[in-house]
Amino acid sequence: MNVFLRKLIGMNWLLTILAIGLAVFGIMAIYSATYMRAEAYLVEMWRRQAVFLAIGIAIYFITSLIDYRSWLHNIIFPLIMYLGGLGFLILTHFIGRTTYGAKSWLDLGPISFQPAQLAIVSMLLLLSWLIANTSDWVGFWPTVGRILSCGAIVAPPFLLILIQPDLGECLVQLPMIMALLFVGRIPKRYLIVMIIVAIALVPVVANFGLKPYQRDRLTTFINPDYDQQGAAWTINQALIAIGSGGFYGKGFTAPNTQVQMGFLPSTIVHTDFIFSAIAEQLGFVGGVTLLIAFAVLFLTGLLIAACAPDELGRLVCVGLVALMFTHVFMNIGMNISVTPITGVPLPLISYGGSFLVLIFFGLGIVQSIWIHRRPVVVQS
Amino acid sequence: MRWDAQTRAVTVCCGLVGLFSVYSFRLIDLQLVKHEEYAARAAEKHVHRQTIYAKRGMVRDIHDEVLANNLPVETVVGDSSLIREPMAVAEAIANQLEVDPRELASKLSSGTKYVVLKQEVSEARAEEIRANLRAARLKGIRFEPGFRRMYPNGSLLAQVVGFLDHKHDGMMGIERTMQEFLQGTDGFRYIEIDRTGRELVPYRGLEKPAKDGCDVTLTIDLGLQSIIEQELDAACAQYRPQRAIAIMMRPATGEILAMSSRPTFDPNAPGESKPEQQKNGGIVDMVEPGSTFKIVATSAALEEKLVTPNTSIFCENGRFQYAGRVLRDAHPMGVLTVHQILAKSSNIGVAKLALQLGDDKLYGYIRKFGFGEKTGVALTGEIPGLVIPLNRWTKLEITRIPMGQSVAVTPLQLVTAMSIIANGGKLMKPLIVAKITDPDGRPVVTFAPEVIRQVVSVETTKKVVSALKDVVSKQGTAQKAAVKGFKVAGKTGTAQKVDPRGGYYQGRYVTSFVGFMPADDPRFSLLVMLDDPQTEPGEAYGGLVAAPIFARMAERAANYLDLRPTEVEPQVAGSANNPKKESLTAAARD
Repeated sequence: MNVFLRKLIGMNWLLTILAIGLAVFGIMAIYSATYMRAEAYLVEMWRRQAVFLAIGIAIYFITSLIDYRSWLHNIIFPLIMYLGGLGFLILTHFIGRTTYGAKSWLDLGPISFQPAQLAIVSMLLLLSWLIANTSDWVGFWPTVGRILSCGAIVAPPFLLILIQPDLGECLVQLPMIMALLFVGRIPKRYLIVMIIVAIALVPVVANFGLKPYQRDRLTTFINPDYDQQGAAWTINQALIAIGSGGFYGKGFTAPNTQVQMGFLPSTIVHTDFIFSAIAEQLGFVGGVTLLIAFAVLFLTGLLIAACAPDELGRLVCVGLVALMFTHVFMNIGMNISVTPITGVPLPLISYGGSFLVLIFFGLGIVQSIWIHRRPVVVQS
Repeated sequence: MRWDAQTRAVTVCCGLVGLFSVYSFRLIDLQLVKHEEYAARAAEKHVHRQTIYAKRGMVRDIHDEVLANNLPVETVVGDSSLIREPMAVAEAIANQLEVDPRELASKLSSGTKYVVLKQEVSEARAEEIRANLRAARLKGIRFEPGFRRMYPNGSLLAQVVGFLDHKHDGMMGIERTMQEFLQGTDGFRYIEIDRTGRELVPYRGLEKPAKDGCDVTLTIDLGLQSIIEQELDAACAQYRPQRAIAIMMRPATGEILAMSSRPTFDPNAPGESKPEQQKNGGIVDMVEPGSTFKIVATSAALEEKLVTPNTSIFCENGRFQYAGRVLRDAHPMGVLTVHQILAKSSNIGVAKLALQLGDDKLYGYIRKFGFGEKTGVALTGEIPGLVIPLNRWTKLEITRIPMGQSVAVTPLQLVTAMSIIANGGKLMKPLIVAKITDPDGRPVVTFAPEVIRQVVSVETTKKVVSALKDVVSKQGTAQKAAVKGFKVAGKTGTAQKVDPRGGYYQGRYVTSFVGFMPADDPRFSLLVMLDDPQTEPGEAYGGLVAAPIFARMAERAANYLDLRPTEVEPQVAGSANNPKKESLTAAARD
């Protein structure tokens, strides 16, 4: 008990407060974007999110207080998670639910979730384990071998997500993988070659690999005035909502907002476009505060990575921060028309119970790395 | 430089902060620099000025029977800024609107926020369209409440009540003359609409309520009106005249109780009728009155005390040479009393009375009786008729005008003039509107009977009435105007039809009868006029054509008004063999 208490007091409270604070803020934002709807299931969303937050916090504290080294260092656990994630993805391919043109949801009894997110997190854990345990592979062929091994882990879930097709969830993995390879001391020249090859592939994919709606999104991203009633509707409405919010915003649950009147589609405003709702109601002040909160959260994550007692901890930490950062970057980016529209959620804020729990699980590992850093520091 | 862990961490942090800074700058750009622009776009999206249509007042008859009211309908409006697929929307609604879908689609892709697609769509139909749009999840179509003018009685009283144009302004009749009272004032409100075009009721802005129009009550009695119109229809079926006109008036007050003319039309579909059908024959058509006009000169001579009813006048045995022309009577007559001149309708006799009066006095009395000027009735298109100004009279006018030639009048003027005889000598202004009440039923304007002038004395009218009673007798020209149980007074008229190209048509007549009943306490005066009735040759006389119609109308009206019979014995015993035919005015042309 004494040990637990000491761990609890010694935890990174900034991380805890930021994570829970953002999630509570998210619930408020969901409420403000759905309370006026006629559909009961929309009105109920903030309550359901609150229930998931409670579950998420419980998982967060449990994961924090257990030493990550006791289970993450053993290949069995990451491997089981990884294979489980793959299994769900394959299952989704056969019995998944199609939303917005992608077969990406799995309904299992009362629970429905996107297996892609679970698969990505479990892939991150397995990848970190691999990179941490091959740090002594130095030289050209060993390095190529390392990269190919990583590729072997990354490819199955990546391809399964790609054929759903959920481009957003695919893209969101790439910075995380690059960050892991970078922190895992793969020489820069290999990374640069990979980036160049990836960039060279972009035009090819854009021409042949994109669905019409995906190409529409790219077009409207480059030129938002294109077909205002069609493809650009959502992005224009988001810009109007954010822009009309002004410095202080229209006020929390203010009447007469674009969101309230349904100009921003009521089916996505509490998920992918929650940032527009926040920026309209709380203005520049609210938007920037949210950005700063995320930035501090990520910097805290990176600080913890720097203090990690071992390679594995550092990799997991960096990977999770990179994953969350990419989500935030792409989600807010599409809201303010800086990046194309890709359906990725805003971590901790937008509606989605399973993703919230998953994020808290990840943050729990990060917290666990912080709590269990000290003995190693003393030893060194 | 060595890429140790620390350098890598700092690099990552800098990158992270840098990327987030880009976002912050983007937010500054959107929310601070371009705020005004986006705020304006947000506002323009959904604030909309909506007209609140005033309810047009109703038109009712004297017993509050509804003659014109409003049927709630909806106007279908498109907002093309909300429509992504004009063709899909057009196809979803084209059927119900009965409009070509391509035409609709082009309206819906015009880019404007307010395109009227169809007016006067019934509420049931609008509800169907709404259901269709909901089912197809289409948006951008709005519905605005409005009304359609309804005339529940169809063509009954159509020419008096009139109708509206497409902008809901009165075009004709009462709808036109009472437009200012009926129309009310439209209000407006600023409403906000959501993405689907539905109004957000809690966010109504500035609102000015509509002021509903006032209701107009006519002096018309729909019961009498139906009698008049049924009989007119029967007469038209029998005689197929070019026009047929009937007007019933309450002599004491000048209130018009019924008024109709044929041909007529259905005001619910005014577009399907010709102007000829829409005009109110009682006031817009000029006719030569014929012998009915003889009451003017006769009353004048009696009023001026130049003659008494018993004064004998020599009627020249049917041939009277004056001013180089020969004036004829249809049936040559010798000495007649003034009383008999009217009863037997002698052209020569009335011309001699006029000669005693002289030009000035005759002209003066014609004008005093209300001819040559508009009566001022609140209906559209009234004409003054035509009385030749005194300074242009030749020697012939004094012999022609007294028998209703070379003078043009409207049927309403004629029935008003007859009412002077019926009411004791007062010219009453014809009334069609009894009162105007506001939407809460409070009176706004009440139209009281208006005496324009005393034309002749009560004594004179008594003498004339006595003669007019004899018109409807064995000795008179209009035995067929008699009504069982009542004394009828009246005068026939048979005028040769004026050819617009000059002169008169041969064998075509305007036949009329103007009278009142009961003769000694008149409850109504009534004019019946048939223009060019198709009869057997030699039977197109007022006494044969118009008088029986008068009798049928008067009898039914007496029933309807529940008049107590004044005569125990029928006025005319048995059937007369040959009712006296009145003289042919054509004689004057000889």
